[in-house]
Amino acid sequence: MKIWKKLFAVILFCMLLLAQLPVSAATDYLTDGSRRIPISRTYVYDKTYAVMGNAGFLNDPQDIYIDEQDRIYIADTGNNRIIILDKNGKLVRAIEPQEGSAYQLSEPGGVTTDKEGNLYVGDTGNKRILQLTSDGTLIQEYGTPDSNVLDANFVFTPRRVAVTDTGYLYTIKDKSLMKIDEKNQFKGYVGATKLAFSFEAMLIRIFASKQQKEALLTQEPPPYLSFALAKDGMLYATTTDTSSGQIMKFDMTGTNMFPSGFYGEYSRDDEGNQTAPYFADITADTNSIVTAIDQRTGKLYQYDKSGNLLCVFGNGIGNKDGQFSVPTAIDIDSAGNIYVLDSQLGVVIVYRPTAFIKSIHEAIAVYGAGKYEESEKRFREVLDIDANYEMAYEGLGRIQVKNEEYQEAMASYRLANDKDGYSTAFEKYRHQLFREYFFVVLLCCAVFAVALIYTYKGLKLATGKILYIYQKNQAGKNKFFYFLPLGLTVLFDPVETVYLVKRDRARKNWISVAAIFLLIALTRIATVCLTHYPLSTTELQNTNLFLECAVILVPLLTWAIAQYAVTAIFNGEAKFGEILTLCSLSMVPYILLSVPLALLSNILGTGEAGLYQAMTCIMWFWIIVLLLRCLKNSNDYTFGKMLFVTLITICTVVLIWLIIILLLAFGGQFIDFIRDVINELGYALKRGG
Amino acid sequence: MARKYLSRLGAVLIAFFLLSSCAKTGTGQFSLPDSAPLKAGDSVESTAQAGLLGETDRLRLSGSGSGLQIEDKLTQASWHTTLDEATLSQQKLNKLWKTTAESMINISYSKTAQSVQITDTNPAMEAEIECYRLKNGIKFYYDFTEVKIKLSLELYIEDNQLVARIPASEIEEYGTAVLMSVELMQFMGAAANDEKGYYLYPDGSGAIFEFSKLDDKKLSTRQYTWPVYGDEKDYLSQNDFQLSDDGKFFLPVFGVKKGENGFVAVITQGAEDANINLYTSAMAVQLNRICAEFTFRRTYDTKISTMENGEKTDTEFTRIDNQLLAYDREVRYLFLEGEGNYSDMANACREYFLEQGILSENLKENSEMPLGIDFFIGTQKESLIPEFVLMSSFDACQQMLSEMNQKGMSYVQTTLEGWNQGGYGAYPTQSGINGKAGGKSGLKKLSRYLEENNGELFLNANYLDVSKDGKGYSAKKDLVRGQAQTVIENTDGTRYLFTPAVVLERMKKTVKKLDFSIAGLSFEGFGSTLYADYFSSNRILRQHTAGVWAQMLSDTKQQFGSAGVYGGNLFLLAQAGRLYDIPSEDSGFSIADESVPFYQMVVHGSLFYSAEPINLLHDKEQQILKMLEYGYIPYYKLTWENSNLLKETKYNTLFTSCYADYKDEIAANYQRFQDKIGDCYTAAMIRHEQVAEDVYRVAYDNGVSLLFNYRSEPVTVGDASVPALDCIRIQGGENA
Repeated sequence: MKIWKKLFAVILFCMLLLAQLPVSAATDYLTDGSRRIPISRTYVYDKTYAVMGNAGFLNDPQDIYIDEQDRIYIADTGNNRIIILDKNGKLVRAIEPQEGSAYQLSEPGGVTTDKEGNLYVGDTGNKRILQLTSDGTLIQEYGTPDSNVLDANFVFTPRRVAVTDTGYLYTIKDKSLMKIDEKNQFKGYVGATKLAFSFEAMLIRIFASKQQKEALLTQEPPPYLSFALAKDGMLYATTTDTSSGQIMKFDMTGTNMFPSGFYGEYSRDDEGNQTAPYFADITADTNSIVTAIDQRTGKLYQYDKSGNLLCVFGNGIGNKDGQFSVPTAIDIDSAGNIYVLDSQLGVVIVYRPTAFIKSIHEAIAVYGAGKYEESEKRFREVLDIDANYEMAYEGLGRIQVKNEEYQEAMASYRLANDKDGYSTAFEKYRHQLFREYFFVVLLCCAVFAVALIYTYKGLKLATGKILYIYQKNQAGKNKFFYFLPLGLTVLFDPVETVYLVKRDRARKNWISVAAIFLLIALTRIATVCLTHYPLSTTELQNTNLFLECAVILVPLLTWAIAQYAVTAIFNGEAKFGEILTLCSLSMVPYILLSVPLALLSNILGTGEAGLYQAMTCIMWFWIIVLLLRCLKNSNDYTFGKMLFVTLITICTVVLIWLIIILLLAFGGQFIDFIRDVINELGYALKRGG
Repeated sequence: MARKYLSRLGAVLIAFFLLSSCAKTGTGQFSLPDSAPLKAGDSVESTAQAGLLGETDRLRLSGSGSGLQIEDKLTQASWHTTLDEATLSQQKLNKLWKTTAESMINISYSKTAQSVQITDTNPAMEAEIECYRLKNGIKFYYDFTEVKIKLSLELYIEDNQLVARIPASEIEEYGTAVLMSVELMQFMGAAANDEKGYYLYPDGSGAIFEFSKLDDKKLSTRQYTWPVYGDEKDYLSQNDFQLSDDGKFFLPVFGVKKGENGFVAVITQGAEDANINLYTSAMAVQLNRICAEFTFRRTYDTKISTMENGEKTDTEFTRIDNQLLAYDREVRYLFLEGEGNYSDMANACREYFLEQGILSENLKENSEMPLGIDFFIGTQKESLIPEFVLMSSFDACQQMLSEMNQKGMSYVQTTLEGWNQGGYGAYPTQSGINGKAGGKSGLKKLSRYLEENNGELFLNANYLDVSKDGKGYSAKKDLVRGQAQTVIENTDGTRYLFTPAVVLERMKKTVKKLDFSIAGLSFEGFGSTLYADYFSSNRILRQHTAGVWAQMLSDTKQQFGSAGVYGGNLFLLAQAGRLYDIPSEDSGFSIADESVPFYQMVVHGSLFYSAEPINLLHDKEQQILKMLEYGYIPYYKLTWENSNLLKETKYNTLFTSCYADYKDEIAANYQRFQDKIGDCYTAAMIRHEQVAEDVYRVAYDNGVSLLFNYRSEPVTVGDASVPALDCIRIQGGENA
C-alpha cells in the first residue's frame, strides 16, 4: 500500500511540478521554474511616500516617471492631476488645473517628460496627449492623430506615453505601440505583435484588401500591459503572451531585441488556479538591466539584457512595510532605487539596492565592456557575498574558457548549473587532451575495438555451451539461479531460450527473476550516477533510490501482469511465472549495455548528445524486440496476433494505472471521511459529557 | 493545496470575528460616592462615601467621574482609567461608544458555547456593579445579568505601581453564555492626533507610533491585535528553518507617552494568553488607544465531512474552546520619571524585572566582551544516495578557534550547529554526536580546548521540530495537536512539533551523553515559539509550556553553567545567558513610525545577545554600526569549507561563511567593537535618542556615551565631530 501511495505521490508531483514553491516573504531568490534558490538580499525596502506635501494623498494613481534629475512625476489619476516631487520626495508642484483654466485634466493615466523638461500627459479621459511646460502651462495638444490609415471609429485613449529625443510620441493602442510625430501625424504601429501567424499576416498584408487588413487588426493577440521608454533609450513593453515572451524591447524600427521565452513565475490565485505572471510595468536602467513587477504576487523580477534572471525581490502582497496591494507602475532613479506606485494604496514604495546587487550590476557592465580581467574580479566579489549565485559562476566560466583554463571553467559551470557552458568547456578540454595524447587515444581506441570483438566472440561461445548444457538437462545443480544463465542465451537465441523456459516452467525459479530485477535496479542507479553531467536528465538532488528503481521496474511489472491477463484470454500458453521470467530476461541488454553507455557518455558533450541518444534508442529497441519475440514464441502466436495482443496489452497497462489512481484517490477520501466522522463523534461525546 | 485555502477561509472568519467583536460590551457606568476614605472590606455603596481610595508616597488613587484617577505626585501627571469627563464631552460619541469609554473593562462573549455568536453590540446591556474597598484600592464585582457572566476586577496601588487584577476564581458563567476575553482599561492613555507623544509596542526591538504622524499615513487597517509571545499556531511555516512567520513579541509590555509624562504597562500574570491591542483614532472615536486584552477562550476551526456521490466535501466551522483559561490575570502600570520617553520606559521595565528576578545581572562578574562564533558542522544532502555534507569538523573548529586566540580574541562564545547525528535540520534531533565531524572524542577535545582557553561552548539544540521522514517518534502520542484534535503541521504535512513533555524527555536523553564540560545548550525556538497542546490525553496550556521551557533552561544552567535561547521571550530571561536572533528592528506594521532598541535597553547588561551574523549582512557598514548602537556582540557564523557546498542542501541560505575569507575581517571588527563598546556590555543602556536626522546618541550607566552617524558625510554634534558611517565615544573616555 505504501508503495502505491508513493507512486501516486510521484504522479501527483509531476502534475504539480509548476505549483507554487515555498519561500518565506523576506528572502530574495532565483528560480528556473521548478526550484527556488535563495540569494543574499538584493533590494531592501527603504521608504514610502504617502503624503504629497500640501497636495495630500493620491487617489488611484496609474503612472510614475522619474526624469534624469531624479524628479518624480506621478499621474494622480483619481484626482485629475499630476504630482511632481523632487528627489527627496518633497512636493515641487501639483499640476491641477482649476475650472476656467486653459485646459482640464480628466483621469490622466500617464506622464513623461522630454529632454527639455516639458511634460507629456496621457489625458485619458479627454482622449488626448498634452504637452505642458514643467510649471503646467499648455504647449500643445495631441488629439486623435491625423491619418488616412486609421479607421473612422478609431478611439484614441492614451494612457502611458513616451517621448523620444527625436520628438516622436508613443502610446499603447491595444496590442501595439502607436507612433505619433510632433505634428500629430500618425506614423504607424511599432512592435505590432509578431505572433505565430505572422507568415499569414504577411501574406494578407501583401495581397489583401483594406477590409481584410482590418480583419487582421481585429484579431486579438494579447494586448500590451505596459511600456516604457527606459533610461537606456529603448522601448520596453510587457504582454501576457507567455509563449513568445512577456517582455519585449524594441529598437526604433520595431524589432524585438529581447530574447523570447517565459519570464516570471506561475503563481496561484485565491481559488488555487495557476495563473501566469501579469507584468503591470517595466523599467530599465542605463545598462539595460530590466525590472518588471508582477501585479499578482507583488514580486519584482530583474533581468539582464540577455534575459538572464538576476534576482526576484520585493516583500509581496500584504500590509506591512514594503508590501503592495495593487502595484501598478515602476521606475528607477539614477542611483538605482526602484519606485513602485501602488494604485490601491495610493503610495510610492521605494526599494534600495544593496551592495550585493550593485556588485552584480558592475560585474555585468564590466564584462559587457569586454574588460574580462576586471570582470573576473567583480564576479569573485559577488561570490564573496553569496557563494550560491549561479550567474557569477557562469561569468567566471566564460572568462576561464577565454583564458583556456578549461578544468576550472568546467568546475565553475558545474556550480552555475549550466550544462551547455560545461559542455563547451569540456569539449575544448577534450580537444586539448586529444591533441596532447593523440597516439595514446588512438591506441586506446584500437584496444577497445579488439576487446569488443573478443567479448562478443566469448559471449557467443558461452551461449552455445550454456544452451548445450540446458538442452541436455545437465544444469540441475544450479538450483537457485536456474534461469539466470539464460540471460546470456536470450541475446543470441531467443527462440531456444523461450523454449527452455517453457520446458522448465515447473521449476518456478523466482530467485532468478528477483536477481535480474535487482540487477536492473542496480544498473539504473549506476547509470544515473555515471552519466556525464551535461547529458544526464536526472537532477541528483531531486531524486532518490526508490524513485529511480520504481521508474524502471514498475512499468516492467505492469507489462508482465497485463500480458498474463491478456494472453490468458487470447489462447495464450504461457503461465505467469514464465512470462515474468521472460520479461526479466528481455531486460538483459539493459543490464549489459547501460553502464558501458553511461561510461562512454563521459567523453561526450552536448554536441554529441544525438549520438548518445541514438545508442540508447538502439538498446531499447533491442529490448522491445526481445519482449515481443518472447510474447510471440511463448504463446505460439502468429506475427499478426502478436501485434494485436501487444496493442491490447498496452491498453491494459494504461487501464491498470487508471484504476489504481482512481482507487487511491477514492480510497484516500473514504479513509479521510471515516476518520473525520470518528473525530466528530468524539467531539460530540465530549461536549455531551 | 485545499488545506491552504481552508485555513485562509479560517483567517477570514477570524477577521470577521475580530471585526464583529470590536465593539465590545460596555459595562455601564457606576458612580463613586464622594466622601471620606473607606476601610478595607467596606462596600462603597453601603457607606456611600468616596474620594481618596489609596495613597502612597508617590501615587494617589481616587474616584473620578466614571472611573478612577491616578495622580503621580513626583511628576504631577494624572491618568484616568476611563475617558475623563473633559475629553468625553469633546468627543461626539454614540451611546455604545460612550458606554465603552466610560467602562474599565470590555468583555466579549459568545451566547452559547456550541456556536460562535460573538455579536454583542447591545448598548443597553449594563452590568450590575458592586464596589468594595481594598487596601489602597477598590474591587469591583461585575454581574452581566443579561448574559449571566460574573467577574471581578481589583485595582490598587502597590510598590508605587497601579495594579489591575482579574482573579480567576471569581469568574462565573451561570448561564449559557461563555466568556471569550476581557479588555482592560482601553481608554487609559487615550490620546488625540494633535497631542504630543507616542505609544510603544514590543514588536521586534520595539516600535513607536506617534499620534501626530497618523494623518500622514495610509493605513489598510486601523486596529491591531498583537498576541504576546506570538499567536497560537494552527499551521507551521513552510520554511524548514523557521517555526513561524509572525512578528516577534518578546515582552508583554506596552508604553504610553503623552505630553511630558508616560507610563509603561507590564502584563505580570497571564501574558501567555494576552494580546496588546492598539486602536488608531477613527470615525467613531477620535482617540488613539492602547491596552491589554486577556484571552479566556480561543476559537478554532474544524471541519465536518459529508460524503455525497462518492465525493467528500468539507464544511468548515468555527468553534469555541470548551475550557476557560482559568488563571489570574494581572497588569502593572509603572509611572515614569523624567520625560516619559522610551528610554524611561525601558529603564522602568528593567528595574522592575531585576527587582522581581525576571532578569538577573549575571554578567556583572564577567567584564570581558565575547566574540560570538557559530560553527556550522554540516547537514544532510538529499540525492540519489543521500550524503552528509561536512562543513567543519570538530578539529577544524579547534584550528579556527586557535587562530582567533592567537590574534588576541580569547573569550569566544562558540556555538555548534549540526553537531548531532545527521547534522543540522535532521529532525527530530538525534541525541548522538556526529561521527563524521569527529564523534564524541572530537567534541570532547574541542570542549577541553575551549575550557583551557577561556572560551565557551554552546551546543545548538532543536527539540521542537519534527520532520515527517524523521525517526524515533510516535505520530500518535508525541505531536502537538490543535483544539480540533488534528496534528499541527505545515501545508505539505511534512513538519510537526513535539509536545512539551517529549521535548523535555529528549533533552534529558541528550544531556546524559554530554558527560564533559560545555557552557550549555542553546535552545532553538524557545524564545520565539510558544504553543499549547490540546491533545485530550495530555492537554497543556501555553502557560505550562512556558514553564517547561524555563525549567529546561534552568536544568541546563544548573548542569553546565549557562544556557542559550533563540529569540527572547521574557519568561526565559532569568535563566538564559545568551540570546540569539534578537531583531534589530520591528517587523514593519504600517502603523510604526520608528524602530527603537527598547528590547535591547531592557536586557543589556544582563545578557549577551546577537542578531544576524556579520558575514551575512547585506549592507555591512550600516548594519555593523547598528549592531554597535544596539549593543550586540560581534558575531559570525563560519564554516571551514566553502559555503557553495550547501547550495543543493535544504540549508542553502548560508551564502558566505568560509573561514579563510573572514579571518582578517573578524579581527578588525572584534577590535572595533572592543574599542567602541567593549567596556559597556555589563552596563545598562540607559538612554537612546535621536539627536539629528540619522544621528543617534546612546548612554550607558557606566558613564560611557556614544554618538552614531548613519550619514555618508561627517556630522558635528555640539563640539563632537562624527565621521561618516561611524561612531565616537563622547563621554567615558577611550576604552583602553
